[in-house]
Amino acid sequence: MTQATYQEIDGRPAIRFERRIAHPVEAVWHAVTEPGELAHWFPDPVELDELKPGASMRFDLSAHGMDPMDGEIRELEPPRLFAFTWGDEMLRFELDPEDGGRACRLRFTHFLSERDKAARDAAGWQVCFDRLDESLAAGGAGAANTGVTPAWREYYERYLAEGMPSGAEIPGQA
Amino acid sequence: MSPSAWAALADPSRRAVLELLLERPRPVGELVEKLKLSQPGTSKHLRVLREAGLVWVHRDGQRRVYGIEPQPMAELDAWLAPYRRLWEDRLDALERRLDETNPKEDKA
Repeated sequence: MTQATYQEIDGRPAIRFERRIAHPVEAVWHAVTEPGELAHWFPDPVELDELKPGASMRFDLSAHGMDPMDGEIRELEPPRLFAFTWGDEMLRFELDPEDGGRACRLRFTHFLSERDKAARDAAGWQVCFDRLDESLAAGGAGAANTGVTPAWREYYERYLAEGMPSGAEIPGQA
Repeated sequence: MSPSAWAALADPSRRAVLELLLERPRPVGELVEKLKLSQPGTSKHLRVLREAGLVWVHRDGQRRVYGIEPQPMAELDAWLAPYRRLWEDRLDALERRLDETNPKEDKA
């Protein structure tokens, strides 16, 4: 099982996962640092010049029809700490032995970019609009009293201006 | 969620408060005891959480009881969901790979 938590680290939004893995630290280290092993589980194929701080990485995103993305090793302390940039985001793996070395605690942190921070701050609004659209699609009865405030309408109209698909009427608006 | 809710969540003590409140609503005294923080420190965190709309407070006689506001937590969950899906799936794949290449050395 994994526990996922939202955090801010050095002012950067980050999502942290923690799980126990029933394999020794050395085996997990190999699986998270060797391109041949990463190929078995990482989202995209990885090229890695060499395993040292500052070394370049390359992520092949052709499966998504996208150009390759660059990365760079930022932290490296074998066999317990490995961090690298992933485009404008950063991924960090921290490993600690457990059960006398038979198992390992993996702490994985995904540091998001500034772009995601902006999206994060907008997320509440997005969720509100999802709900608005849902209740409007359901006939609008539920939305009438949930407060289509002037602020809400302003955001709504801005989203519309940006091309958010919506054929729904706003309650109280002819 | 409002920017103040995200800022409130960024603090580890306040996340600890929310974790305790996810189990059940609790009076301030119980939170102070569980968190091992001072009474004023706990009150300050609770005020930030309340102002951010993440918790509610009820007066129960002399006690103030705090609980989770479900809607912002649901919004946080919705925001986390795509990241959680991606990485939990990938970390499961990592474990499967390790199981294949490193058979467990359980005693025969």
